[in-house]
Amino acid sequence: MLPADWASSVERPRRFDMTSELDELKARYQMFGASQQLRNLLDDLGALEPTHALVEAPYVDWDYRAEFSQLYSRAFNPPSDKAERLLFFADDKFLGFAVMRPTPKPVGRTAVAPPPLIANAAICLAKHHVRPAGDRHCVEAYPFLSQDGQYGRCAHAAIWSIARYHHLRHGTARRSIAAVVEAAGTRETIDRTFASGGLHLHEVASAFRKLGLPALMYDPKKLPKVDSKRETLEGVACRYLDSGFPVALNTAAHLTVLIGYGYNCDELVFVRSDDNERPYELVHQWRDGSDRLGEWEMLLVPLPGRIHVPSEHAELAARRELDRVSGATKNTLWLRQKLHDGELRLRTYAIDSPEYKCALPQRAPELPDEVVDHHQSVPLASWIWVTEFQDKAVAPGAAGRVLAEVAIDATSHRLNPRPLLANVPGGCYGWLPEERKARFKRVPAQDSYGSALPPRPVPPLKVQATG
Amino acid sequence: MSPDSASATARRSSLADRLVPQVGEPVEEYAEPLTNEEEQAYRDELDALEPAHAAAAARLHTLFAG
Repeated sequence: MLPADWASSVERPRRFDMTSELDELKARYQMFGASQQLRNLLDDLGALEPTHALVEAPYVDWDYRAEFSQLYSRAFNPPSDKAERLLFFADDKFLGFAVMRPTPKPVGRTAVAPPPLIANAAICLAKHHVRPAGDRHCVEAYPFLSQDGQYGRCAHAAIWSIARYHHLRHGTARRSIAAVVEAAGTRETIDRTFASGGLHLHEVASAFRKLGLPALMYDPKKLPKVDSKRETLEGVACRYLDSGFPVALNTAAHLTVLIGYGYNCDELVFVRSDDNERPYELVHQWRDGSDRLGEWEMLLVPLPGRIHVPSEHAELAARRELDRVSGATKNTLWLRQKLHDGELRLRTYAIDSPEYKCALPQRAPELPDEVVDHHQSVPLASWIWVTEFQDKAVAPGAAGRVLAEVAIDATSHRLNPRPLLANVPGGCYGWLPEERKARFKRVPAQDSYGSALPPRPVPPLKVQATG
Repeated sequence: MSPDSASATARRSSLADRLVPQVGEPVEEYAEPLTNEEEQAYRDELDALEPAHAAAAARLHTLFAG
């Protein structure tokens, strides 16, 4: 039963102490039975040491109102059209918020900071701003929403979270869950009226395209071959995650989202958002069908901008350009030899070029100023792929030491990726848009410099409960 | 010029300066010329990346996403 004081502007709880009143908080929002997502959300928040939750009500949530308008309002006995919003704090520090819907699965639009243990590995975070009663607060989080199980299913929730993330992070259009359902279309079954029975993966891909986020697809069993060697799942996924692009993950009858990765010593672990469970789940076991969700059947990477060149094409082109430019002078033949001997770690990511230029002076150890000036002054495409050629002696989760890097035009033809700039010790190359030949400029040589990609160590973990 | 003094000079580079590409001279051949075979091998490698995407797209219809 919905509490009698649901969404009341006056007669309702205003504050829950997160220690002494946690059970009351859970009880208020599990009005139609246990909610796995709510329980996990509150349990995971514990790692952030919350002191209290404030209740903002009545709260008109754009996403819930869209669901209400499309489905619930047409019922004979609809639920309330108003939601409540919980605002979580650790003393004065804002930890995030969760919209509570008056439905059996109450956790609506949610943004909470990742637990400190996996903060290094949670890459796909966007800023969420809230302004309750004249206060301004902000939290960096991956958007989360539990399916209501009737209007939206897990696939809708996953699509919504990726679309909302790209809206907040990359300025794409804001889409409601209703827009997602409409873009996906209702699954064609004989008894189909309104409620959703779930989506096939081609409907998911179609929905992404209709929402302005065309998706690249990778079958883990049939990954592309580079240099006669098949790409690895981690290689593909990490390139997109390093770009800040969430990767939709299809397992048997479920769609979740990979939103980060890190290294526990040399072991690669992923961070996943699962609308059935929690916003941040650390996935240690994922190889060879060992994941609790079963075999990883397909990866979908929705792209937020004009990125025509897939990551593996870009990396192949960058490798070729480094091979060529490092062989051009005697001073860098050692680098070419390292490339040929497999002694370099290649890390490739996409970025919008203004951001790339702005971040260049922030490398630590820093790039020579001449290289920064050179790269900042070369005209670039809106989106570029950058391949860093790193010293392989450094552990994979540690701060990378870059020896050279090459930028490729992400908007060029995938079968003819165009180089834009490169730097090797002692020299910079630039390819100007109206010229075919490269230009070369000598710069002070430097042994190595800091990566644009932060270190991603993940401390050893206790086993995380998954319910 | 030592690296330190070179950096000090470069730090004075203004936005107006950087709005004009601070690149060097065009190089005729910045690397050893590629033979036709080498160029073709590179094209073939890029071509070889394509079928994987087509195969993945073809498999989408068989998978249920929930």
